[in-house]
Amino acid sequence: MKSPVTLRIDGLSRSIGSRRIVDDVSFTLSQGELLTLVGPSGCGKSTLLRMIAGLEPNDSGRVFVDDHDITSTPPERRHIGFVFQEGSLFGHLRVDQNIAFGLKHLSRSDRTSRVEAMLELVKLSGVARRFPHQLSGGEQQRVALARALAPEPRLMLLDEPFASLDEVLRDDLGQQVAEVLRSTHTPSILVTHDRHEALSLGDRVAVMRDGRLQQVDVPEAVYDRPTNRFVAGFVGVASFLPTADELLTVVRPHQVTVTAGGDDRVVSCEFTGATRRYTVRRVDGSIVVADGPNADGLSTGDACSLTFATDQLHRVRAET
Amino acid sequence: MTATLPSFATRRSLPGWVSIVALTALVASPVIVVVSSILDPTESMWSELWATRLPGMIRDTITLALAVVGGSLVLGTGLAWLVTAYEFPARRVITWLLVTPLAVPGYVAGFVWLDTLSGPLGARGVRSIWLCAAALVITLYPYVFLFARASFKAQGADARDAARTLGVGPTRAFFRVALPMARPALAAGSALVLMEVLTDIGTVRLFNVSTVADGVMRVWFGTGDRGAAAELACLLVVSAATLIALERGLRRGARFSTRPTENPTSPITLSPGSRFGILAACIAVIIVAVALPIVRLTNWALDARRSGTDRTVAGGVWHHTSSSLVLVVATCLTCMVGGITIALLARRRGSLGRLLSRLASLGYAMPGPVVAVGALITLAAFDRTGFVPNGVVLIGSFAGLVFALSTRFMAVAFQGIDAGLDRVAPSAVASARMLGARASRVAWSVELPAARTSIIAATALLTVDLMKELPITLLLRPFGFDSLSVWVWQATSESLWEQAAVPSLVMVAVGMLAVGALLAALDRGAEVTS
Repeated sequence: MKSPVTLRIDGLSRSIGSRRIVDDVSFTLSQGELLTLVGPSGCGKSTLLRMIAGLEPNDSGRVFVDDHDITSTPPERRHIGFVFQEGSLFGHLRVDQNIAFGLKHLSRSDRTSRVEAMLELVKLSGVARRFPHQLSGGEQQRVALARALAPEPRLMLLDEPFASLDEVLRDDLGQQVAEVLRSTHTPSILVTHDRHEALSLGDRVAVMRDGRLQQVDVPEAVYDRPTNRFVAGFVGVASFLPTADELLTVVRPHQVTVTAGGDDRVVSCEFTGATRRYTVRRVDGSIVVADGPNADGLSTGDACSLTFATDQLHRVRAET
Repeated sequence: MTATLPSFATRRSLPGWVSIVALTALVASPVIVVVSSILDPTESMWSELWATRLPGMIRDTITLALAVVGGSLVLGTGLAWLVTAYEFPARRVITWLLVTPLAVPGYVAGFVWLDTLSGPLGARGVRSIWLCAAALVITLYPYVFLFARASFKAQGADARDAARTLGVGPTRAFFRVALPMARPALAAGSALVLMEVLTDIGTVRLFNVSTVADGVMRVWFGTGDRGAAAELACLLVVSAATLIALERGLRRGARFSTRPTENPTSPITLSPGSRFGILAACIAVIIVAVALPIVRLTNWALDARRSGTDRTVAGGVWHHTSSSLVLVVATCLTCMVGGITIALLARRRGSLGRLLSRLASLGYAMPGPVVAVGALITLAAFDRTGFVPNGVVLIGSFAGLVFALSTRFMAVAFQGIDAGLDRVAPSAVASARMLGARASRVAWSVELPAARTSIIAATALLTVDLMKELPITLLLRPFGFDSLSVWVWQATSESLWEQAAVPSLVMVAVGMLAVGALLAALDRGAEVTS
């Protein structure tokens, strides 16, 4: 059974000068779903998010929330929550005052209990009376999430909320935030440039490039059955082998086995922890990246041969 | 935000310590002298003043300070918001024009409006404390404007956008977010305005308002008792310090991000009607504060030319202009050399260096008459020590005047340069050292070039301040040395507006050029400081 659609984007476009920043983007978001929007920097993903929030104007296209057309509604009347990259907390207000900022319509006691509930949700009950600068970067972003969730928005937009945090913290916080969003059943779009974040957190992943959506699908499909060469290369390491019919075969490092001896040659060998990553030059000159067990003992310059897991391989169009 | 200062493994050189301590002592001495004068009060003066004029002086000073600071806050903040948040025709030119009142001394705007309004209001009605406050507001609000504009620009769009996604419209977002976040900047701007009000002697005299600063001048010229004048001046120091401490206290733990944002505010485009409204409001302010004074001054100047009163006994307009310019250049140079020396030396000397640099900035937080009195006592002490060569007397000399002005304005140079140096990445300094450059070469080839726009901005601001400066120049000038401001003072104290017009116009013209340089430097990355 499919959940009802909360957000529907219909042919949204925006140009600055002669450049198409966002180009004819359409997709839907269902109740309770978490969509990750991923792409290289400058691909228009943040602009798209800001257009949905009403923070940027659009040239054409429509935005519907619960079937209401909100395309020309100002941001403050859209009931959409937004978490910015960093530093958007109000420095002159304490944590609890920040969270209460969007709750002016509630009575004083309702407001207090809502703020408390939000702090509990993001596990920060102890810091209510601190100022933002007294918190760590991760804590600040959790407060920003609590502040955006407090007015119970119809929809939540997160614009690279973990970009400024270090990697260990980022993984942890990503899972926590996804958990909070799911527990409140808030449909959400999370923008990121990190493919691991996109694949691991999203119910579905949208890949964007040069203002256009390339593919919107569940993470497994985007990884295993990418629609084109760009998507295949962006969401994970891939080698591309030419085929007779102008298509390319996508080979993920785990879909190929390296064995010693043969006509191919190891160009480089990199220790990655659990496995060894080989770059192999084949006889025909093509390059293939493959993962193998550490025990293999192959090193740079060694002769080798490759075996492909042919039944798993996927083909994409040659053009990017 | 202060960057982590590089502290290298090295011995701190003794000459460095000696020069910074000596320089600080020299610059801070006038203030210290005045403040210590309170330890030995002249009781007769206090009891007499208390029984007669002092209560009124204190009341007028407080009323005037509150009115001018309040008015400047409203006008300066409001205009700064309009030019940063909204798009309208000729926005850049209007922004520059809105800062130009800085070039018009309060006492010039004062006599122009005094004469303009004396028709409808009558000669008695026009001399009110409220009109005096208005004249000061229209010439001092640019201080608040500059700080508020910098703060609104630095806030960027994120805070405003965050407020809007939380259901708060743009106008309410101004009051709930932009304004409170700009509070430190507004406080800094207000502090400058406050200092100028406490310093002012020219405008208040025009409108017959007796403030404490006016009292200091009267005690000085009336009784010649420097000690008594210094004690009275202490009242100004105490009130300024109290107000600034009060604001700091009210700020509590809140911090206000001054980190420049990557997402600058994009001005909102409004309907043609609203755009015209904003433009009209800005132009109205410009007319009142700059355009009308210039038109009237030009008329008077032409009259003066026809009647041959466009010169004084000392000489014509060129004579006085060159006096002013020589004074401005000499003081600017002194302040810059001193400011750069203190900034560079203090940075590598930890908390003691910071303390010394703060001590050297004390003069700027002191009203002009206070510094003048203190400098005079210091100079007299120097003259008595016999260190100065025979026959040379510092009191009443050009060098003495430059010294006094420098002790008050050194902070403008120092703080501008220091802010510029803050932007030099510590890693750039470290890289230069690793590449074999000594500290002095790093200063010349890495640090100072990076602070270039800040140095230009500080010089421009110094020029504006020094052109207008009245109390110190008036009290300490050498005999026969008449700067433009002194000429205006002498002419206006006899209500000879026509004669005051020529020097006023020259001051305004030089000031406007400096304001242009200031704004250009600010737009290229220099920061406003206080």
